Amino acid sequence: MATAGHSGVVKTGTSSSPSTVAVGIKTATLDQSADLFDATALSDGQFRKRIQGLKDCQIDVSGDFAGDTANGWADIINSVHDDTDLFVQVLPDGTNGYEWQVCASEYTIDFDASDVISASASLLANDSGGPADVGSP
Amino acid sequence: MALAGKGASVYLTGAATSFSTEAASVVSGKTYAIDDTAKEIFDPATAVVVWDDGSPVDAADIEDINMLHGQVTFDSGYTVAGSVTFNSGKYLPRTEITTAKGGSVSVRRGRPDTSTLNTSARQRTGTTIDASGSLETFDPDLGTAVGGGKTLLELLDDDQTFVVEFNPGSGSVLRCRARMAREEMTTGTGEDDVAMGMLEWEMDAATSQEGYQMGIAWG
Repeated sequence: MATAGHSGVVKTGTSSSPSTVAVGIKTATLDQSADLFDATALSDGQFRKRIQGLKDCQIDVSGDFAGDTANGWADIINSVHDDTDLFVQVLPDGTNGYEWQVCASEYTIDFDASDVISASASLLANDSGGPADVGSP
Repeated sequence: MALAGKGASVYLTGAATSFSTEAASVVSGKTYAIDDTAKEIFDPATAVVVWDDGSPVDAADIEDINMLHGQVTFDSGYTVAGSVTFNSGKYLPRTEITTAKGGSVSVRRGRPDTSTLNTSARQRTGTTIDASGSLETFDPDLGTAVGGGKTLLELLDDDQTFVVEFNPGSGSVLRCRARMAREEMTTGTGEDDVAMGMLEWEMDAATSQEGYQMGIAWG
C-alpha cells in the first residue's frame, strides 16, 4: 500500500538515535549505494560475478529555511562551518527507515521578497559502520 | 517555522572607520560583544586592541576575536577584572541594499573520500570552506552607494573587498567577507520587464592583524 509523502519524518542530532524532528523539511532523498567490483575470473563461466566494496549514502533535503537556530538547519550549518558530523534518520512513513552518520557538504539559502525563504543541503556519509535500521524498514 | 522573504534584508560594508573605547557586554562565559551593533564588523587590516578594567589585555589571554561579529573570547584561564572595551580599531559600516529583490547564499566544504581499510562504509574528511551568493536588485545601474564613496558597480570596477550580510529576519545573521565576481544589468520592452541589476560574489577570507580568521560566520 502506498504511503502518503506527508507521513515522512527527518530527524537530526549530534549523537546517534536522534529524536529531534528537523523543522521545515519538505523533501528528502536518501540515496544508499555500494561499490560493486567485477570479480569474474577465467574459468568462472559465462556469467559475471561481483563483490561489494564500500557502502555510501547521500541525503538531499530541501524546504523552508527556519533560521539558523532551528532544529535540523542548525545541525547542517554547524556541520559545514565547524566541520562536525551529524546523525540523520530518514523515515518515509514516520517510523521506519535508516540512520546514517553524515557530514554536510553544502547548504544553499534562496530568498525573494515574493516567496518564503527556502533552503537545501547535501549530506554525505561519514560512517565507517554503514547504516543503522530504524524500526522495521 | 517558515520565514517570509519580505522579512529578509541584505547589507554590504563600505570603507573602514576608526572607533575608540567602545563598551562591550558579556554574551556568555568569557565571550564579550561590542555594544554598538553598527560597529560589530571589524576591519581585518587594523589591529583591534581590547582593554579590561582600564588596561590592555595581553594577546596571550585572548583566545579569539570574531572579526565578523565584534566579539572577543578570553582564554579559559583569564579572569575578567572590570569593564571590557574595544579600545581601538576600525569597523566596516553596513549599508542596507534597499533595492534588493532576492538572491541566494551557498556555503560548501570539501569532503574528500578518506575511507580506510577494514571498514564497511565511506568516510570523509572536511577540507576548505567556500561560499558564494547572488543578489537581484531594482537598481539597474548598480549605483547604490555602499559607503566610502563606492557604489555596487565600483566594488567590481575597483576590485574592492567587502562583507556581505544576509539577515533572514529571525535568528542570527550570516556574514561573509567577499569580492565581487560578476555584475549584470538587464532591461527589456515586455509588459513585465523592469530594469534589473544582478551581482554575484565569492568568499575572499582574510587574516586579521592579530592572526584571527575572517571568512564566514553566523552570529
